[in-house]
Amino acid sequence: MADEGLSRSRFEALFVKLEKPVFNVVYRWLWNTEESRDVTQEAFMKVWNARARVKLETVEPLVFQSALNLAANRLRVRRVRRFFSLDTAEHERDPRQSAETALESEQRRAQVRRAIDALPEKLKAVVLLCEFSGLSTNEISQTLGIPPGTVGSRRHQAMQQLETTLGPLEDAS
Amino acid sequence: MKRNEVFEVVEPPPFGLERLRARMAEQRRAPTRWVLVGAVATMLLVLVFWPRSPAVNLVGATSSFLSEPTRDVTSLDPSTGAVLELPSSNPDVILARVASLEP
Repeated sequence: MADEGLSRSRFEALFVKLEKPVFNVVYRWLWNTEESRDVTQEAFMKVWNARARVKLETVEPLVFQSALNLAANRLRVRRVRRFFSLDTAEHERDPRQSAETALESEQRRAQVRRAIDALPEKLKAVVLLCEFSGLSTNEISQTLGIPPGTVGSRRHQAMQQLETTLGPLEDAS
Repeated sequence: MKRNEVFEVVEPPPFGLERLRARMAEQRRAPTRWVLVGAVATMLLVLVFWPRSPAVNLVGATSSFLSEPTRDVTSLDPSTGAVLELPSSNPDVILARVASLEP
């Protein structure tokens, strides 16, 4: 099974399965829908172009690894552009919301965004992969090139830091 | 704050798969495009570096004909003198001076 390689149909099935999780991880890096979509697509294309060397059992961590690298690179470029005033921060608003709810959720989202942005990249990568990717701890450790124990400790640290900023996080009932 | 508010799942823009397929198709077309670009570039290089025949040295050729005359200047039309045969060093070449006359 693993020797059959990454066929086009498998690749498309992989995209259908992982598009949303990858997009959500990347979105927390860039906070821009269009850019996050582009980076997600680019990450999949990188994997597709390397399909001859890709092992099926590691393809999912590889997609996330590729997406994280691309998102981090894009963020660095954006910071440089901002430094030279070539770019401005964008704020997206959901067009379906009314003015009051939009304002309320806008404030909440801004608060969440600030809290996530304040996390060091190492912690942010771990906590976002844990929350959105659906990967196991071992797969996350493989994606980030860190021991599985470090995944656990970084996740704990990240959650602590988020709770310090946002208050205790309740599980949805 | 609720956990699912912090990690709210955002929907990616629609038609992601179609977009990906378009990118894959675009990539498949790309090699053909590069072959065309390569062919055009090769043609240009061939045109630029194609060996040309040596330039004709008109001055040298003319001077070689005019030097060492084998015959004197002769009028080919003695009545008017409008056509004069000039001396030529090459017996296979005849040089003639043609003058237009006033009516």
